[in-house]
Amino acid sequence: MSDEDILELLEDTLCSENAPPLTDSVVDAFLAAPVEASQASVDRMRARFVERLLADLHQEPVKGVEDQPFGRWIEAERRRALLTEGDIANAIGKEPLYVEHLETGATYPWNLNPGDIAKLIRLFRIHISAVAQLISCSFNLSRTRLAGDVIGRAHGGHATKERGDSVKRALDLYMAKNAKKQEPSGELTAWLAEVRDRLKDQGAVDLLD
Amino acid sequence: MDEINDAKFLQQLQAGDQVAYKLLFNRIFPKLCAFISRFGVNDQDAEEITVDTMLKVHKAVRTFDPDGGAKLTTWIFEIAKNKVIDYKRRPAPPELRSLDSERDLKDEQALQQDDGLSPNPNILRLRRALDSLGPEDQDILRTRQVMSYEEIAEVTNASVGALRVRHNRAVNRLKKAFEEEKNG
Repeated sequence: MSDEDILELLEDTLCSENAPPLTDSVVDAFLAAPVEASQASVDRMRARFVERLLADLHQEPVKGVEDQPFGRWIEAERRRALLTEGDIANAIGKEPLYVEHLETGATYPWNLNPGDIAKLIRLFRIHISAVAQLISCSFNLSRTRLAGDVIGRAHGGHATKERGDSVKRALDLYMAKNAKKQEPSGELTAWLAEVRDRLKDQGAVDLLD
Repeated sequence: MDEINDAKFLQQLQAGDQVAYKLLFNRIFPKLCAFISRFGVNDQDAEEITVDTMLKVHKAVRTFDPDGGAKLTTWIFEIAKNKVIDYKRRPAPPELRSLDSERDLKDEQALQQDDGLSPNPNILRLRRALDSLGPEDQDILRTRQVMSYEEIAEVTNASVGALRVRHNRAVNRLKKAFEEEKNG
């Protein structure tokens, strides 16, 4: 048997289910070598990872959502999937601050591009009926938030940023459940219709049925 | 990569710490994809297998036992290697099969031989032969599968010439052990 034959058989063996497990020394050597995929490839993989992870989490379009603002719902689901704001931002081609502002309510969804919001909705697989419910909740909350901020400051005292965020999140959820239901404005209805169109353009028909 | 294999880091990871996950993924994604490419997988499929691997890691890292004998990084690379093996065992798409019926037939035969029920006897012999070698021989043979001599030289500070000699000796010992296995 020639060297080539034995090396070919070795390659077949190491690529078969009969291959011995990898050892720390082989993996350590590879990790120490200056070889790695390009940044563009890493970004693509991260986006695909987030997409597949969330698709796995929501195999069916999400229809049942509690009364909570759109951004807070996104935040809760992101945390449940152990993802960072940066992961979500990368998956929809935005900066982490975009996601942070949306989640905390510093920016309202209807002030953002419907196409970008459609990408986010598609990523989290939220059915349009649930989107309407979450957006309506955000809208009601936006009308009562000013009063909430006053209450928050009164209870927060010298809160740290972390505690401040937690208090704000709890207040948002409390107010979302108790906020007076208001009729969405014509502008908001038109924005939602545009989101629906963008979802259709992006081929997310299962979120529109 | 030392911090990835640190016990405290593993605890954070197993507790579902997002920052720990971020660090793990930032460090592992680029290396893992490069590793998978070394098995002759095209770039696009290598990316998909890397994502598959990391999804499995995401799901199963809570069950990883640091006392199980391998580092976390080795455990992750082993998952990747098994994904590559699954990928290689997949039958080719029908449109590719029809292009080369002779190769198609060979692939079918190879699949039948390696379907897990009737493994290729030479592969089993070689596996036993490999196991019978010393750890240094096994290391150089396996490392060479995924790294060039130049890359190994850079990591180990050994010269390329010395590595070639070491590899040749290991191949000769493997051949001998294989022949012994073959002759009973």
